[in-house]
This record gives sequence, structure tokens and C-alpha cells, in this order.
Amino acid sequence: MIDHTDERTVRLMLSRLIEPEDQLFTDLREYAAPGELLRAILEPGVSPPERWPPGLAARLDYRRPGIALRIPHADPVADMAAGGAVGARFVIPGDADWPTALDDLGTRAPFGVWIIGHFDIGAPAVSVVGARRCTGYGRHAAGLLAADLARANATIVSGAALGIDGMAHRGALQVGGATAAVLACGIDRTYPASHHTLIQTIGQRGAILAELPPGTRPTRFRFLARNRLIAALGAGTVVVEAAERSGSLVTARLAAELGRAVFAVPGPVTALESTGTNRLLCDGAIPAVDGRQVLAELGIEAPAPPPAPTPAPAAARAERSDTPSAEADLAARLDPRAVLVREALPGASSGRAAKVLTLAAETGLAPGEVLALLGQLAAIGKAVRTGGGWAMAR
Amino acid sequence: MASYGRASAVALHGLSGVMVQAEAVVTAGLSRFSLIGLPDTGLSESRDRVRAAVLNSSIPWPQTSLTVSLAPASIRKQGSGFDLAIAIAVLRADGKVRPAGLSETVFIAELGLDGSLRPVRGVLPSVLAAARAGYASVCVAEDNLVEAEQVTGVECLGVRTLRQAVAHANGEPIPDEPSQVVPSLLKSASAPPSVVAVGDPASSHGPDMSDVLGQFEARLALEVSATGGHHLFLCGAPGSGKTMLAERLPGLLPPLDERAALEVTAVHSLAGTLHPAKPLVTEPPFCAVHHSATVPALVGGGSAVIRPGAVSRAHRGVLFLDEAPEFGRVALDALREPIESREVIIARNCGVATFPADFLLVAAANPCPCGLAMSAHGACTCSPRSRSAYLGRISGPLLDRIDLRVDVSPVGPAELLSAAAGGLASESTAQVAERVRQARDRAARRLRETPWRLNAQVPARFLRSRWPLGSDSLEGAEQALECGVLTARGLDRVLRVAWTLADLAGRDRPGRTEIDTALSFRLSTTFYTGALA
Repeated sequence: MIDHTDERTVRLMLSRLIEPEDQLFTDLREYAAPGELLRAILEPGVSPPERWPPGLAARLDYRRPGIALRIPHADPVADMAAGGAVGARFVIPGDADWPTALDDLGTRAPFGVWIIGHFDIGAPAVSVVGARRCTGYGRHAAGLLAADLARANATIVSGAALGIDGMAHRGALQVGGATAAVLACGIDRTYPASHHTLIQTIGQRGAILAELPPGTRPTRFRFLARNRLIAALGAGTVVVEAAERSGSLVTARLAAELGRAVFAVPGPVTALESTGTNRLLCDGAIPAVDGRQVLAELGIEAPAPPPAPTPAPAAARAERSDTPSAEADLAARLDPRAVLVREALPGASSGRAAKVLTLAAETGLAPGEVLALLGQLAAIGKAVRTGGGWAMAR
Repeated sequence: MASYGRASAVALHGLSGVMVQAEAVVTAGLSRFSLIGLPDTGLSESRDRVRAAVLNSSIPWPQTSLTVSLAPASIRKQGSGFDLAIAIAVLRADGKVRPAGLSETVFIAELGLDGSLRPVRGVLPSVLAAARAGYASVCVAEDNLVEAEQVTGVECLGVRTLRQAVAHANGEPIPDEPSQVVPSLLKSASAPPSVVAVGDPASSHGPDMSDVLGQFEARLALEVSATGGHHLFLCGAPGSGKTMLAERLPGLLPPLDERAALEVTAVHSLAGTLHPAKPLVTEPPFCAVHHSATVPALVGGGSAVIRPGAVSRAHRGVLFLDEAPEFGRVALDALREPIESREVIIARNCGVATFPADFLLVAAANPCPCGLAMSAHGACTCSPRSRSAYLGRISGPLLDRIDLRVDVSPVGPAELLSAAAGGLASESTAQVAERVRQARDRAARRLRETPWRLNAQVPARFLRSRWPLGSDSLEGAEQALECGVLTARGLDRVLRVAWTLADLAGRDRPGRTEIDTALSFRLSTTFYTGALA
């Protein structure tokens, strides 16, 4: 039996039953807390609280048959299992890692978000969005800007779509920066398929967020609803390229409504791909020229360059093993030189890889010796080959 | 009594030659010329060539009924190499050439209409067959002479014209003839684009290992492959140097001994890929095949003439398949049999031919259709389905026969810069080849009482039972098996490679280091461990 008093369960149920940006429920949430809302949906016989405007109760009754179709599929336990299977957790307001920026959406805020990876709610975030159909200029600008911002420790938030979005993520990954992809589908899906690798990489080295329950397919209106999360998560939103009628312009409008700064990358006045961004500039958006300028406009100090990533201490990784005793057992059997090589390996999420000759130079061991020791480490799942070299296993 | 004459020639089936007698009979009757004894189309045209050549050599042509039979009549004969023997047989029947004596000559050449002698393919195996059959001398076109002379125990004569050949057959002094400015067939008939002509003097200095910067693992893999005869699979992004590495593998193999050189030369003679200026192939050949290759192109075939395929042209050398997943599946699977038996048997209605095919396979592939799957920044745009389907096109049974798999990554900026700054030079081919030679000797000594010479040929079962390893050296492999990252089959391959590493290290059996290094090759290929480890 499902515990309807548990806040997490309630919000899980609601995110199953209610499509994001449903006007009726946005209105209802003015008057009803999630628990009360769920009760009103599941128990039609009970009369609504008196403080509800009469029209709202009637609208809810009118919608009931539609919602009833979704009730059989609302299974919080199954959802948690499906999310857990891909390493996702369901985060709700009040949790330590709840992205508080989403609270600014008020009654349009998601009931909760699924997160894979680590989304640093303390770090400044900038949303970089744009068209899927973009020019080489747009891709270049998006990559440069994202890399610039990421180097200054800003998290790049975008939608993992083709075109500008993908380049923004890649720009951040390229410099080892943080990036977050907000999906318009269930967290256990990747869309578009050609960005499967990209999204996986973001999950390993940044964060993937989704408000829709696991298994949900992306649809046109879900992309528009997803855009409000991107607008809210960033302290500012940069539109790199957008045509006259682009979803990115919706994101910019939402960001402006939320009181976020809106930036646009100026483009050629003759380019269709830049008509939307140039229009934004006419309407008062701030021109985005480079990362430093964007951060300055946002009032964020660009910190000193981050120190070179160092290998995570062995203790931090120990908890990943099945049982502590097995880990200790393996460690005891490990050649001390293998420990040396392991410590010289770049961290799993650093996005870097070391070649055998580099490792040999670093550890002072012979290259052949290093290769044998890497074989030892690979045999116990402690080292993997990645990106043209070797790194620690996750 | 009709006049009779005969002359000897050789019919080739694959690389094995059968002695053929061209018999001619001149009888009274209307002028006609019939050729019997299962000739193919090319050979039937021989009548016109022979007649024109004889007339253009200022020798009268018998204006009577003429029959030429190629005996034994039951086997099919093809090609133009019988022209000279037919001409000599006819002239003997007509009394223009004295009959064959005790020391008989074999005639192997095509005739030009002007009476000149043209070179033909397959002279080396033909002369070999003649020598084995006990013939003392061979007459070939001048352009084929150097090739024919590679066979010891036979006196070879290279002539330019039919007139010279007739003089030789009559035991007269051979008249001087001006050298024809006819372009040699072998020179003009360039090899198919996917084939590198072997023995090209320009390539004798070959690509050198010292050109390879960094690439520690790939260099070691080449050395191991050359030492133990392990087939090699190179996986890496475009531009990571897969072809460059593969081209350097033949240089690491020991030079061919006399027997192997003759075998290889015979195959290339038949394939028409011999370099005219260097008729004996003494270096291991390198044969790169384009991925559009068909099964007959790979393993050999042809309807009228059975020609050796790429696997035989790579005999005693390296067969390089670039973009292996792009090959047709049927073509790739056709490689399995020659890899196993080290020869190809091709049956056609004209007979059965056996070609040697003892080659080292190097297959190269991009990790995915876009080639970027190994980049660290998620730059790959292939869907998971297309990625797994891509390498999945190389069938499991074929991959099972490949002991070594290496991920090749582009040379990093650090290595390029250090090379530009004149940093530590890479080892040269000569240095590595010397180590390979010593390790091969060591393996051959260990295997001397077995039918095998190279570690890759030894069945895993035999390896395990004959030379068991200490449990402490197998510790890494045991852990990998426990973790499930290594399968039993993968372990066999690890053991074989480890034995070669031990040979290279000069140890009498693999220790922990060799096993672990072999494991690092086996376990490093992150993209298909699921299917292959």
C-alpha cells in the first residue's frame, strides 16, 4: 500500500499523473499543497476545501476521466526502481541537493526532479541554448562561450539537443568543466539517439536532470515545458542562434519572466538562423561576447583558474566496491607499484586519460612495467582504457 | 606416313604444374590447322599467333592439313604460354626443326604476331615443375629469364624471337636480334589497385618503425604479433596511424628462407604481381585489400584460370584489411578456413588448385561509423545500436582467431612536441626485428618436438597441459576471471600472448608480468569487452 502522507511518494505520484505546465494544476497549486492535491485527485467523492475557488473544483471534475486513465500507471515503487536502475535519484524541495533556483517557478515548479550525477547547486549556472538547425558560426560560438564560462567554474545548463545545445555541453566537457543536461523525456531515456554518448558522458562528469517520470517519451509540448527548467536553473540564459520561431526564444522569454538576465549572441543580419537572436537584442537582451563579459553582467566573479584535477584519494573510491572486506582483500594483494600507477591515473570523471609513456614518466617505472601493472588493475576493474589512454575505473 | 613432331610445355593448376606434350602432325590434304586437347579460348587463338609468328620469322608454313594435340588430352589447358611449344612442334613435323633429342627443352612463352617472344605469368612454378619432372633445360622469353633462373638445376635460356628459339632447337648458333621496343606485358599490366607489387626495389628500404612516435602499446603489439604469429586487430579513430603501423609489420618478420622465397615468388608470378626488376621475393610481402573485395579476390578463384587471391599473395607476409567492418560478411568469413589450414583449396570445373596462404592477418577498424567513439568528450554521434552493429559485422568466429587486439589512439601533442624537439628517438625496425628473431628462435627451440613453430599455432589445450604455469603468475588472470571481465576463451588467448612476451623477454616461461601485460591488451578494449573478452 502506498503511503500518501510521504511527501516523496506524493510528488512521485503527481509527476506521473500531471503533465508539466498543465494550466489547471498550476492554478490549483495556488491553493493546495501537493498532498491535498493528490487526495483531491484520487478521492473524487470528498468535497474540495472551501478556500478553493468554485470554478477550479468544477474544472478538476471535468478533467477527472482523463486523469483516471493515468492512475493505473502511477506506481512510485516501480518508478524508484526504474530510476535507480540507471543511477538516478528523485530530488524534491527540502532535499539538500534540490536545485533551489527551481523554486522561482512558483506553482509552475516541477514536483521533483530526477538527477543522475552531481548538480552543484552552490555553483553559478548559465544556460546556453539555441537552435538545432544552426550554422558553423553558431556551433563555434556556443562551444567557445560554454568553454569560457565553464573554465570560470560556471555550470553550463542546456537541453542536450542537436546543434547549439550539444556544442554548449561539449565546450564545457572539453575544458573539464561542469555541465547539466535537462531532458524532455524520462531520465532513463536518451534523446536524440545520436547524442547517446554525449548524454552518457554528461551523466558521468556532470548531471542529467529530468522532471518526467522514467520511461516517458519526448513530445513537442514536453520540450517547451522543459525549457522553463533550463530558464530557471541558469542565473542567465544565453541564446546563441535562434530563427524567428524557435523554442530557444521561449526559453529566453521565460528567463526574462523569472527575472533572469537574457543574453543573445549577435549574428549576421542577413542570416535566417540569427533573426531570433537579433530580435532579442532589439528588445533589450544583453549582447553576449565572451564568458568573462557574461559573468560580469551577471555579477559573478570569475574565480582563479581551477587547480589541475588530482586523482581522487583511494578512500573515496573504496565505497564503490561491493563489500569493504573484498576491497581490502584486493588492495592487500595489489603490487605496491600497481598502487603507484593507480594513483597516477587521472580520475574517472576528469575526462582525461594518460598514455602509458606519460604514466611511465610520472611514476618512474619502465613503460613495459606500467603496461603490465595496468593489466593487473584492469583485471580487478580498477583501470579502464578511455579516450585514447588509461584512467581510473568509475 | 604423316610427319610428326613434338615439344614440351607446362600446364599450371594453381601452383602445381603438369608436363604437357604439344604434338603436331602434318598430313596431306587441304590447308587447315586444328588444335585439340581441351584448350580454352585464349589457347585456341594460339593458332593464329603461331602461324603469323612463323611466317614473320621468314619460315615457310606447311600448306597442308595440320593437327596439333596437347597431351594429356584429359586436362584443361589455358593461357598463351603454349604458343612457343606449338610452333616448335609444328616446325619439327614439317622438318624445319630437328626432332627432340635426349636432353629435351621445355618451351614456355607467348608468341607475338611479328615473331617475338612475350613473357607469361607463372613462369617460376612452371620451371619448377619442369625441373621436378627431370627436364634439363627451359626456353623462355627474355623478360622471363631472371624469374626462371631462380630455379636451380635447370639450364635456362631467354630468347627474344622465334628465330632464336628455332636456332637453339636446331643446335645452331643463336642469331643476334635487335631488342624489341615492345612494352613488356608484366610492366604494362599493372597490378590491381588493391595490390602492392611485391619486391619493388623502391620499397626495399620500407617504412621504418622509427617513424612511429609514442604508441607504446601498438609498437609492442606489432612486436608480439611478428614474434608469435598472432593475428592483430587494430581499433582506433581515423588518423590514429593504423595503416602506418600495419605497413611496418612485414619489416619485423624474418626474411624469407630459400624455400619460402620460391613459394612466395611462385604465387606472385602466377598473380602477375612480381616486380620485373626483382624476380625473387625475399622479403615478407604486404598485401592490403580494399573493403570492396569479393570472395574470389580474397581467397582466389576465377572461372577459366584459377588465380591466387589476396590471402595467397600475402603468403609468408602480412594481409592487411583496412576498415574491416566495411567488408562483406561473406568475404570476411571466407578468411576463416585459410587462417586455420594455412592454404586455400579452390575447386572449379577446370580443376582443383591449392595455394599456400600462411599469412599474418592485420585487421583495422574505426570504433564506430563516425570514428569518434574513443574521444574523451562524448563527440561520437552514433546511436548505441549503430555502434554495436558496426563492430558486430566482424563475425565472432573470425575474431576468435585474432589473439591480439589493440586500441590505437592518435599521437598526443606531448609526443609530437618532444619528437620535434629531437627527443628520444623511437627504436628502428632493425632493432625490433633482431629481438623478434631471437624470440622466434627461442620459441622454435621450445616447440621443436611439436608440429608447430609459432606460439599462435599451438592449441590452447596443448599449451596448458604441456607447460603449466605457476599459480602465482596467474593471479591477475584469476582476478579477471572472478570479476567476470575475462572469459575462459579469452584466457587461452592471454596465455598464448604471454608465452610470446616471455620469449621476447628471454624467459623460459611467462611470469606475472607477461600475464598481466597480455591481460592489459585483452581487457583494454572498452568498447566490445562484453562481446569479446
